[in-house]
Amino acid sequence: MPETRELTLGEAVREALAEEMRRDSRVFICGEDIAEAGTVFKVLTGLVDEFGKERVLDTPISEAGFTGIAVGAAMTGMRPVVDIMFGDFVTLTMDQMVNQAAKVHYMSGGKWKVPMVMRATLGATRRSAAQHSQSLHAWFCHVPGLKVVLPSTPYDAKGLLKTAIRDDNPVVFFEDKMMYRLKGPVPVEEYTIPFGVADIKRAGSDITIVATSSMVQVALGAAKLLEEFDISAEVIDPRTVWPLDEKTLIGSAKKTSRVMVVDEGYERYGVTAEIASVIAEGAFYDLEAPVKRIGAMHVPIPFSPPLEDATVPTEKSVFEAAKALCSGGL
Amino acid sequence: MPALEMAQESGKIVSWLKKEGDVISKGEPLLEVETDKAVVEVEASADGVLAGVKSHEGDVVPVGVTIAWIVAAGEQPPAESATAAPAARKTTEQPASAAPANVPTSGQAETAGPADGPRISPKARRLAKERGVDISRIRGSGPDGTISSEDVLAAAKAPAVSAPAALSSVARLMAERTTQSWTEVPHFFLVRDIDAGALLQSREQLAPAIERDRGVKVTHTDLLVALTARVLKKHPKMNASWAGNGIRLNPNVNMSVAMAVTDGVVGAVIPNADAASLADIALQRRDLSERARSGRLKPADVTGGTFTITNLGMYNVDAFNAIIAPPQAAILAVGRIADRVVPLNGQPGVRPMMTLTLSSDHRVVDGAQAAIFLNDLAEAIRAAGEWLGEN
Repeated sequence: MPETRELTLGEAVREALAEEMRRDSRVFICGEDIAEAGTVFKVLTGLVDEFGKERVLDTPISEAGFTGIAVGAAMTGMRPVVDIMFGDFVTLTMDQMVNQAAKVHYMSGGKWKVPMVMRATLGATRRSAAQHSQSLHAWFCHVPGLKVVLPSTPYDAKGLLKTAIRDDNPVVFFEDKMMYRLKGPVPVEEYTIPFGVADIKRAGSDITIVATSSMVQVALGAAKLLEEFDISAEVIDPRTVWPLDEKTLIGSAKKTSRVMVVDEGYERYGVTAEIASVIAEGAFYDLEAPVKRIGAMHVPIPFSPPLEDATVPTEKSVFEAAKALCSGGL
Repeated sequence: MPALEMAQESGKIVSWLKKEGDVISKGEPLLEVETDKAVVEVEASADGVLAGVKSHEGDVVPVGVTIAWIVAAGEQPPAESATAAPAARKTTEQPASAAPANVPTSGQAETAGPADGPRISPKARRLAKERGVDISRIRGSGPDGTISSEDVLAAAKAPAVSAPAALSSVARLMAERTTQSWTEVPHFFLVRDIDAGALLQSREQLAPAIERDRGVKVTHTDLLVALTARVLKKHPKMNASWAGNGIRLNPNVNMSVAMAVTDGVVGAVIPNADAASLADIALQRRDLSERARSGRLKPADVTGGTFTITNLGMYNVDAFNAIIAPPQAAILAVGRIADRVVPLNGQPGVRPMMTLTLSSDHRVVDGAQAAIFLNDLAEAIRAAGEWLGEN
């Protein structure tokens, strides 16, 4: 067993960035309030002291602009990491990401690469209201040319972010803003985690719960509640929603015959829909019941705390849906 | 498949009375169809030649679906229509549908196409196919009889159990209706012992003339039908129906008389019995009971009743509680007339006594209303001669 210590998810992200910046001088970070402020979530605290303001580059409030800078820098050989404080504002970066970053390698006949990472946040229940609480990662999954990463633990966050920075393609890396203080073991020695490899967070035999990002923690909590009802839940974290480890998901579905997909993005046309259809296609004749999806309700995320809590999946709602699915309801 | 009654959704073909290619004329009996309530002869609706018979004996066919064509001599039946035969189901192939979980809870399920029936998970369907398990024989353990793979695996292991015989529509309907009534209708029961002396007396007085003039023997049931119908006229709520959100008073007094048939009981209806003479009631009752015995009741014979009388006196039953036949609100259970020792003017005496038990739907009537009706009925029976004398 390699030596480990407890890190928060925020610390794991910072450590990944610091290690990669030490390892490769082409890596730099740009975004709002990232230097002395260390971001509003204090994830980048201290990086500016080690790497200076040229590599930890504070920008004006101009997401489209600094994302464009990153795309251009990446095309000329740098390895930028863009920081989008609130993932809601990826809206402003869409042309750069969708029409430029995702297309350049293809349209240049492979002559140009865009080895950039966009780090953004997702997740509700921070009482940040409708424009600062969304989980819009599904938008990027829809576009060929972009990879989308959703870590759920400090270990995964560090290993996946290092892989993202070393990847020659544009990668969008979503961190749940409510998970920055989540603690977990992280090895002292260096490691990376390959994309497209799901992780079975908990083995089980009666139902498969596929969950992403902070919903993995929600699913693990629900699995504990299900234990009391003699329902053994397997919790699987795809870790990267593109590329997607279809084989592991389908394999687990075939094993348990019942599947739920939990993701904090909007349920309608969301990540849950894609994963559910992958499983339905791959494991149909091994399913005991339709694949159940739980995502955010189709409403703007409310500011009111009780309403906000009712809008996104919770341990209780996941537990109840899983229990209903296992009690034979089709 | 013709609609032989208002609410009919499907009919089972009992037999074809003509063969394909037979020349038939309008009005000739063409086939026999069993509905939920009776077996009915269907007459040819036109002259011509029977052709393109799509549905065969034993098939249950939704109303409106083409079962055959009557064509002109030399004419071909039209090409297969989309709504035809596929919707039919051969009941003989589904003996296990008699297993409780798979019995349709209402007549509707019977009309369902192949897509209906108990639900089965994709995994269970695959396993059933792989292991040669007949899913129609499985009673699903999930909600609404949903079949899971565990059910299929259990069925694959279980030794073959002889399937219960398929229920006739009368038996099935009886099981469904009594279960529905007993579980949904809040029954209450009022019991009354009545001196039947006057009833016996008026039968002795009235019966001979009726038998002579009309050729029918008057029974105690006939007298009770006539008396009850006349008393009901004054108690509209006893002749009413629970309509889901209110009480519907029925304009006519249509007396339903419980009659035993081969494998169950039906309520044969004497319409407007309050205005019918005793002789007419006796004639109708005899006609209905003869046809009930031979299984030839028409749907119209067993619909529209507003109050039921059921008499088990001929089996020496003293008293019993009957189950209401919704949407009716009450049923009168009649026991035998037998000599019993009763107080008469402070002395023990022997009288021909009869026990009436009235079951009522508490959503429609309350105890006091039902009691007043039963009291009025008792008074009418005590004065049967005066009530029926004009006949």
